[in-house]
Amino acid sequence: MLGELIQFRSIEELPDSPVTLGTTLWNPTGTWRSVRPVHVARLSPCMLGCPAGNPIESFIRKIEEGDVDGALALIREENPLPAVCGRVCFHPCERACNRGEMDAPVAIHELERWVADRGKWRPPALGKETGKSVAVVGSGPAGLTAAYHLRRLGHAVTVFEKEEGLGGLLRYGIPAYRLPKDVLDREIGYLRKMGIVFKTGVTLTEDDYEKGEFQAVLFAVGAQRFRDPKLVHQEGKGVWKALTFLKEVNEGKIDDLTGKVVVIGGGNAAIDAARCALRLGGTVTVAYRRMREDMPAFDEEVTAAEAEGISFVFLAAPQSVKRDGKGEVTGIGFARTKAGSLDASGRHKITVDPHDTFTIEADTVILATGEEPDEIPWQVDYKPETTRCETDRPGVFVAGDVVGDQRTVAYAIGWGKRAAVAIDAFLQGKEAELGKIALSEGEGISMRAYRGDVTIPEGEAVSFEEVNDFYFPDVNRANPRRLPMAQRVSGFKEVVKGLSKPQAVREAGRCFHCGDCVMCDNCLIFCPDIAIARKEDASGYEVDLDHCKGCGICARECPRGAIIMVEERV
Amino acid sequence: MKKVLMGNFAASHGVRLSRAQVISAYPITPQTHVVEELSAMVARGDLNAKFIKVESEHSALACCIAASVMGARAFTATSSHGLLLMHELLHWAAGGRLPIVMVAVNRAIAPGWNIWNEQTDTLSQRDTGWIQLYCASNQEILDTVIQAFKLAESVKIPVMVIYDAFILSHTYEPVDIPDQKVVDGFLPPINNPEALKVGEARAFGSVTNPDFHMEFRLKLHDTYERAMETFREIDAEYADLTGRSYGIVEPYRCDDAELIMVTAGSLAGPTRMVVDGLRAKGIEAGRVKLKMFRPFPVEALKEALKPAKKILVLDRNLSPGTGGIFAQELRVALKEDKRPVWGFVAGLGGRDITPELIESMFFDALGAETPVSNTIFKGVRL
Repeated sequence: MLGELIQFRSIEELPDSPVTLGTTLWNPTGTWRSVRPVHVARLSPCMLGCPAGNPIESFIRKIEEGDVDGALALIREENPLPAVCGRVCFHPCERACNRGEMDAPVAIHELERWVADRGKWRPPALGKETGKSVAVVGSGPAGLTAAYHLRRLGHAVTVFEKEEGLGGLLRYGIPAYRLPKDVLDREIGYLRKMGIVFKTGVTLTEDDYEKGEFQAVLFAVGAQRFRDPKLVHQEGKGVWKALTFLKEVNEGKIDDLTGKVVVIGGGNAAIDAARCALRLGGTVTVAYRRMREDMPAFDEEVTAAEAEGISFVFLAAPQSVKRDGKGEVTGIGFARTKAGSLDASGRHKITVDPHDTFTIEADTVILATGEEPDEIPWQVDYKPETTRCETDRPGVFVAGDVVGDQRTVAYAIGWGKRAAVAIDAFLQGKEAELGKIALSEGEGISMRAYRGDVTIPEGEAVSFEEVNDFYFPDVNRANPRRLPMAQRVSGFKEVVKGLSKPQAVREAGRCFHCGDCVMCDNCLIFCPDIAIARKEDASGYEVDLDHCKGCGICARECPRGAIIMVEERV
Repeated sequence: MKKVLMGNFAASHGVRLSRAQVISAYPITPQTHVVEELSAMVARGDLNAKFIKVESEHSALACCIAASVMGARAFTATSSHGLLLMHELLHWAAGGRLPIVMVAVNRAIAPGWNIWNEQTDTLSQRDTGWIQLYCASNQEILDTVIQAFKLAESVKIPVMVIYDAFILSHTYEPVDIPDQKVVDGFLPPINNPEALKVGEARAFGSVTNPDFHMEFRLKLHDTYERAMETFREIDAEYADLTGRSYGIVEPYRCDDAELIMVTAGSLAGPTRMVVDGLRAKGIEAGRVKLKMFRPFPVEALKEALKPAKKILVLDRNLSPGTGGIFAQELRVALKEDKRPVWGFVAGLGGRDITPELIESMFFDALGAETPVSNTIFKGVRL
């Protein structure tokens, strides 16, 4: 308030320039305001982009804080397979990353891998034992993830795997040069240490289940059923189904494949099979009936295959396998196709011209023409894409490739989490509130939110326009070290060697931390009215609304969109 | 230690020796070297200062104002359009009685776009309340920067140290760099008891109603006038330590001169040369170099011009419709005087002012009782 009146008797008594003897807090300039700044937590777009619901932005922050073990523990709150994901995921998070609009997205998958390889694993806290038991059929990424989260929630879990090795497609589909088997073993080993029981070489029959040992069962049996192109003379030696071929390669049963190899198909299995065949000594051609940009395989994989010397033939529809008198494969007959307009999936429609044919010589043919979901050998029925993972039979659930059509590891992990939530809710006799744990419009859900550890910020993710890129200097995206080309094609050693520590730390520093306040103090420094202060517990900032004029400088200067301006209501 | 330095670097060394604590500037030709070198000095650790990069001259001076309010010794440098962009804050700094020192390199103002020498930029800021000191050599630049801090802090009025684009800013001359110890003895650490202190809330430049605004201006005006005497003392003290002084005005061969030319800045050199040449021809010519333009040294000028029968002013600046600004100021100062004053305007936008051109001005005055007009443009091509 105004103090006592000061009487100046001479010019000398007057100060040199007008100055107050106290604050100007008496002047409530906040009444001039029409909009107010609100300090908020918001989602970063990477998290919406991750079907596995990884806590991307916050684990990167842990790296920046120098806490690699903490970063690993944080990822593992949501995803039990970071070393796998960091290697094989097609990282849709990076397509969503706002930094991509400035220079190049943060190399999130490389950071995830680096954390998983360098961080020290600590046993996670388990919920109170519930006394309930759950059977998980299938040990692919969906099954492993569901088992992990069910165990975290205090349930006893037994995983049934029909093969001798655990991991499903991770073990028998993805080649070792992309995912070394010891990496997979390490992450499965952590699950074993948590008390999950694994039974291999067996499956759970309906009769066994009905004995009542398990109160719920999850089928995460994948999609391995061969989609048969039914080529003429297809049956016989020299022709492989891609998944069978990959399984035998992964088991070390094939160590030589000289001669000409033609792979039919354009998906990831086709590229995996092609790159394996090359490593086994083959001269490899991939033939696909559409165009390069239509291939469902990850672009990075296709590029790597091209770099290794694999040839590609596009717009070629296979018709028949050519065999000589002894039944040996000599080639494949193709009909040329023509690309037309784009279909609903964004790929070219093609038409086959049966009169325009040609032959590619081949000694071996690998058919990678796709897979169908496996059949569940029980009397159950379910709807595809059912996000609640339920079937028509209470207690029986489905997850992963068997139910979803986005057949990637990250989606499978997302399915595993949804199944864990569905089963936990079922065992507790309650309804799962998926809305509260969904990452906004994203595919992923948060198990931390489900367990009540965090609250998911509401609203849209921060857009690039809300990021103040002035605060982020140009830093090139980290490029991981790779195996020299000669060593790549001569064996199954892992091609990508990951980031060094300085690379990883610098790469983490490229993250904008969209929507997540890092207490940089910019808002406080730039506020012309000194109307922003740190909260005493350092959990954020509070605005002195008696004096904030609503100029919006704080929101403009926030590097990461953590302050929004909200209209005042009269 | 003697070094061959360009004028801009001489200014940087002056700032370094003065131990400026906060430097904030925005680059503009022909000033950029000054702060570029200072940023290098700060980076190397030769100068312990905060160097604040900003997006405009307006912000540069705003940073200096804030630093000065906090009691720091603050410096900025600019030129031409940069100085004009600072205009509002020039008033804030002077009205706030903040002892900021600025280097302003004289450059023409657009349009047309012109980076060359002209004094109109600084002279158009004459009413902002800043002290203005014009320099004639690189040595004088270095020495004046050091003196300027002492002057600013003594009277709590900001000071502009001014010199000519390219003719000094980019020209190399031998410069004696005084020892740090000598400068430290001359210029003690800044001490402003009224500076803002942490924990003591103050608002500066707050609302002043009609009851007091005028008194603040009167106080500034009185102190401003006294700054002339203060500078004289500072200049004398500096001479004791370094052997160099420049005076408020510097008369050359004026004692018996019938014709005296008044000018400022680097024109002091060629005009002196022309005076020597005229003397050799038997013409009693003299020259007065004006160092301090604000406050305007009326008495010192009157004294220096006493012997003259005719007065010439050489302005490298123009107040359109009025003429050269130095001439205009001088005419007001000599308003009781009956002696004729020739007001020459030359060299605008960096056009060369040759000795021959200067000599022709003396002959103009020699051959007439009174000037043909108030303002005489010299060296015009069309």
